[in-house]
Amino acid sequence: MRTSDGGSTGPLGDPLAGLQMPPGDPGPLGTTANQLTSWANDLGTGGAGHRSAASAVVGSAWIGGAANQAGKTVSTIADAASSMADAADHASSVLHTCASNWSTAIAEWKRAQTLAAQALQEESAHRNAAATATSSMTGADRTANPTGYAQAQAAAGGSDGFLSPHRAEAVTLGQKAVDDAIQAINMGSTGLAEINGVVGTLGSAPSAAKDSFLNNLMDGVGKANSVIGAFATTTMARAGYSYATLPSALEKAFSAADDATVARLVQELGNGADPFEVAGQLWSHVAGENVAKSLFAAQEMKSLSSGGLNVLGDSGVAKWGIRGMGGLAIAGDVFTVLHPDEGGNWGKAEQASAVVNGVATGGGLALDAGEGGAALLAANSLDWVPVAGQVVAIGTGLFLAGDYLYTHEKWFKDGIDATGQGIANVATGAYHEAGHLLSDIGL
Amino acid sequence: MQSFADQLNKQAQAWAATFATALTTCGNPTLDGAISGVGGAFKASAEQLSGASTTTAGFVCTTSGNFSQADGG
Repeated sequence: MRTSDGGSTGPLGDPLAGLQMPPGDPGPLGTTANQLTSWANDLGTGGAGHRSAASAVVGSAWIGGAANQAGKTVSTIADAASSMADAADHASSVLHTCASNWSTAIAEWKRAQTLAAQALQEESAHRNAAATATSSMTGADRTANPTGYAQAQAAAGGSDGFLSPHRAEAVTLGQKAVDDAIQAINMGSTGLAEINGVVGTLGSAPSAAKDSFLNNLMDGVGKANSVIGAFATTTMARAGYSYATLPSALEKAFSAADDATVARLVQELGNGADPFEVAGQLWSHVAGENVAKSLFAAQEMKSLSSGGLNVLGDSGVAKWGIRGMGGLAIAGDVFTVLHPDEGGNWGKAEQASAVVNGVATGGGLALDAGEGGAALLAANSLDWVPVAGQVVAIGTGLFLAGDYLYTHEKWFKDGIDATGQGIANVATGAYHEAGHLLSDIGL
Repeated sequence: MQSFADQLNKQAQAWAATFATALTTCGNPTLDGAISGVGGAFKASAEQLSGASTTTAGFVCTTSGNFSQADGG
C-alpha cells in the first residue's frame, strides 16, 4: 500500500525487512523423491533377482569353488543393491520431509507477509486518521488544545510510537518461517550427504583378482556349455538327461587348486597371459592329483566309437569326440570327478564329467571331425570355442553318450556293471591308462 | 545360456543408465548440491559395478530354466 507519507511501508518500514527466505522451491523435491523411490525399486528388484537366480542353483545344481564365489559375489552385490535401495528410499523420505517442512515454512512466511501487510495497513490508517484530524482542526482548536494537536501531528507523521499489534506477530512468524526453511534445507542436504557414504557400496562390491581369473576361466566353460546345450538339444533331449552336474564337476576340479596356485595363475593373467593357457595350467595342476583312466570300459568305448550303435542318431559325434581328444594329444590328462554321495558303479560315473587338460597347442584344434563332428561344427560354430572349453565339451559329449547308453541299452549297462571296479577306481590313479585306452580302442 | 556375469553386467548397465538421469533440482544451491551429489554417487557406483562386472567372474549360468529348456523338459 502506498501512504500519504510517500512510502509503501510507512516510516517504520516493512516488518519483514531484514528477513529473507532461502531461495528455491520445494515443489520439485516431490519429483526428486519419486525418482529416488523408483531407483530404490530398481535396485531392490534387480538385487533380489540376482539373489534368487544364484540361490536357485548355487549349492545344488552348481557346486564348488566358482559356484561359491559366484554366490558370494552375487550376494555381496545384492546386499549392496539392497543397501543402496534403502539409501535411495531414505533419501526419498528425507526429501519428502524436507519438502514438507520447507513448504510449511513457506506457508508460515506467507502468513507473516499477510500479518505484515495488515500491520502496515493499520499503521497507515492510524497516520491517515491523525492527518485527517489535524487538518480538520481549526486554529482555535489548536490553540485550545495544543497537546492534542501536537499528538495528532506526531501520529500523522508516524512518530507517535504507534505500532500495529500485527507487526510483532509478523516479525515473529517471519523469523520462524526463515528458521524453519533453513532447518528443512539443512536437514535435507545433511541427510543426502550422509547417504552418499552408503551409495558407494555397490561399485565396490565385486572382488578383484580371483573374480577376474574365474571370469576368464569360466567364460570358456560357459561357451563350451553352449555347445553342450546345443548338442543335448539335438541328441540327448530324448534321454531326458540333466547335465546340470557338468558345472559341478568342473567346479570341483577348480576348487581342488590351492590358493597359492590360483594366486600365481591370477598373477599370470594379470601379466597378460592367455587365459586359456592359464586355464590349461590349472587343469594340469588339478589333474596331476585326480587323474582317472576313463569313464568307459575299453570294450564299450570300442563299440561306441565303431558306430555300431546308433542310439544317438549320429554316432559319429561320439567318435569325433574321441578322435578330437586324440588329435589334441590330451587324452592322458583325462580325469573324472566323482560325486561322493553317489553309490553304485555307474552311479558314480553318472556324476562325473570328463574334464581334460586344455593346454593350448597354439596350433588350434586338429580335429578329425567325421560326419557327426562336421555337423556339430556347422551347427555350433566351434571356431569360437576356446581350447579348454571345446575339450570339455568333447569330454562331456562322451559322458552323455555313455549315460544314454547305460540308461537305454541293457548290454551296455551289463558291460559297465561288469567292469564296475575300474570305474569305481577312476579317482585313484592310472594316469597313463587313458592313453592306453585310446590305443586299445584303435584310436 | 547366460552367465551370472552377463546378468550382472546388464543389470549394472541398466542401473548406470537409470542413475544417469539427473535428479530434479529445486533451485536452492545447498540442496541442489546435495541432490547432485547423491545422483552422482549412485551413477558412479553403478558405473563402477558395470565396469567391474565386465571383468568379473563369468560364472556359468546354471539356472534351472536354462537347463530345463536345453534338456527338453
